[in-house]
Amino acid sequence: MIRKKKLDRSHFLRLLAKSEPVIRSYLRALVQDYHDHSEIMQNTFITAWEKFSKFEGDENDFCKWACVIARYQALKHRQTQARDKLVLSEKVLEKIASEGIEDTASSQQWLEKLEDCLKELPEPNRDLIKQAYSPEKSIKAIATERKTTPDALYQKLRRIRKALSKCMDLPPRSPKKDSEPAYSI
Amino acid sequence: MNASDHNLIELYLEGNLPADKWKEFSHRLEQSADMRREFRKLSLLDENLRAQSIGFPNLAEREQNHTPHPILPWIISAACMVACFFIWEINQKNQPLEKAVIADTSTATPSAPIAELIDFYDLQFKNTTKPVENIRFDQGKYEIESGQLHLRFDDSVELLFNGPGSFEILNPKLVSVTQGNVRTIVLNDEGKEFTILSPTSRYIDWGTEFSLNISPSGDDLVNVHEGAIEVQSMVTKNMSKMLTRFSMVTDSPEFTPVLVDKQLENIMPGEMGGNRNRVLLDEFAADPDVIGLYNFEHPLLSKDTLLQRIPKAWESSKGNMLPNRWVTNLHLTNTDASHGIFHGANRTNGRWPQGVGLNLFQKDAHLSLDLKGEYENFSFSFWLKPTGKLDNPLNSLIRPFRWEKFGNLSIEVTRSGKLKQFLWGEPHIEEFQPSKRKLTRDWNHIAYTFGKVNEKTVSSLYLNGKLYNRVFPNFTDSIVMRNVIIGCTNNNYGKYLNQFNAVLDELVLWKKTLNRKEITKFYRSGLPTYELNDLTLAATSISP
Repeated sequence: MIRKKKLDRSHFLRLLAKSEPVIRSYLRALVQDYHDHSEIMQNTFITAWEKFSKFEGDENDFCKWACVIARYQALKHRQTQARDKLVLSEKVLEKIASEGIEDTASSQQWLEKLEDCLKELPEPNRDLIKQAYSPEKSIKAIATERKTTPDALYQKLRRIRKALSKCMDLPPRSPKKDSEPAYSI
Repeated sequence: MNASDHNLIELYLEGNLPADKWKEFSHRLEQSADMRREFRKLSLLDENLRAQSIGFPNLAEREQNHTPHPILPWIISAACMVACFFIWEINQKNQPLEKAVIADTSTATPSAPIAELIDFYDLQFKNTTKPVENIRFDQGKYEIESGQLHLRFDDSVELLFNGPGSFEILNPKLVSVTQGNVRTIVLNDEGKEFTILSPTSRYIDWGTEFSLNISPSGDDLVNVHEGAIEVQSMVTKNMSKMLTRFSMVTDSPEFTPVLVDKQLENIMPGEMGGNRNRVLLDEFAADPDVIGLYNFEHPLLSKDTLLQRIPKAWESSKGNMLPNRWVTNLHLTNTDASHGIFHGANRTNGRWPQGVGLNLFQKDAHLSLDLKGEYENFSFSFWLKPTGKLDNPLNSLIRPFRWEKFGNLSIEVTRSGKLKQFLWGEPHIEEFQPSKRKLTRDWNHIAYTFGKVNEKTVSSLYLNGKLYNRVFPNFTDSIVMRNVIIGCTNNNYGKYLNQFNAVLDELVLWKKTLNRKEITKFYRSGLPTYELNDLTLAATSISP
């Protein structure tokens, strides 16, 4: 019995490691607040582990199965938040959630492409992104350091993200074009 | 997908989507499959950039380390998360889920909340008994049953809330109020565009002081005291109107239930700032650098004790001095500064409820003090509310009884309310005056400092927390304030002239040079005295 549980655990770990970025990104679209997002991620993994004995399927199925759990958790969370905060309508969230589950393949592709896109990003922009997403400094503090305004910084970050987003839709690079960036900012 | 949709997604992910755009955003997402796809993609991008910045090596490092598989960081992350879960599961099997979540979040590195708690008085929140000090004022709704709350946003906006009522922090520049009394003060340019949302309208500060009265179901009342505010309708699109202090009831915007009410006053914070100020005064009383502390309350010391520190000018009259004319120096351990004696003045309301100030209301009204030493480092500060006309070209605020030697300092106020500082023997000294402000009819905080900065002697005057003027004396190396008169001056024949009529409160003397930070702290030590500064100031009150 213990041995079976150990096997289950390693299997679960392996599947989770593979699917975690997709589940995390899937949830990000459904939950705006970072703290709530982490909390729902945690709840999703706990529920997934509790129900894992009933799961039958392969890696792709696991990702979709976990996304269904995440969707339930996110919608449950939305109901508690809807009273107090500005939240997206339930209809919209349902649509995004369903499409996200149907289209996990796109998420996988975007993730893989993102690695390449980030490599191609000019060094100063990469540094800026790293700084901006680091929890240590606020946008305002970074703007002061860089002698610019928070608005200008937000604009610049938007441009970088837009370029990255375009890049993520591009087909995989051919080896010949390695030296040329696939996009520009 | 068009640029506007893309922009909406970006604003949402940044947490900057304005409240009035949520409906549009939700609607657009519902209508457009392309937008939803882009939304999912940008969410994925945002989440992964965040994850990389938080806990994963950057790409350059990864390349250097020849990490064999791009998925490895994710595996590590997931493994850590699940491992934590297993540990939790083993140890906490019988505990409810919520508890685990709370425990986990409590170990996270705390980040600064959106609003900093400055002060509160008799405060009771609905649905929580948690101590106010332990509440994080982040995005969310706060319902107050009773009492007062003072928050600071981004070091640029002060917000005071009087219960009962409720408000919601939406982001550092946006607060929604459904009911309650609110006053906001924008301290600097950073706070510009701070916005209050009522159920029907939004009020954007463009450098103003105004009052607002909102009830959850009724009309809003507004009174602009200074500058202008922009009122926008939350119901009808693209409808807005600027209101100024000249706006009358007939200027009320017709598109939203807002009425201009000229009788509407700023709500004062009452006991809240008073309590904080009392704490500060207690600190002064124990500060070894303080040589004089006067709050103008009736003296509690015996007449014999008071007589031991009588100002020199009154020594000859000490036999028939009435006890109520004494102003006690509350710093009892330092005897450098005498107790005070006033003439032609009376006690009146001070800055705070139940507080006392000294009303210098007559022509020759003044307060006498005596400072024994000669101070190479010296400062003083006090609060002042002008009450009379400024009849003379120069009206004496503070001046020694005899204007006779190096070190004598005088501060005078011009007819238009500008402050001037004079040092004896330094008549042609060049004055650096960065500010063109004047005394207002409200409470003003005045601070003076003297001392060496980078080997150079500097004599500076501050008004309401900001440098007002500064001189670099050639000969004066210390301040001598023997037999000082506050409120007027006297000529050599004993006649009092050039009076300055005002109410004084919280006079403090130091034998050190205060720095700018300390002066700002003392200035901010209590509300409601905020002058309209060079940049912006807004004061809003909202009541049920």
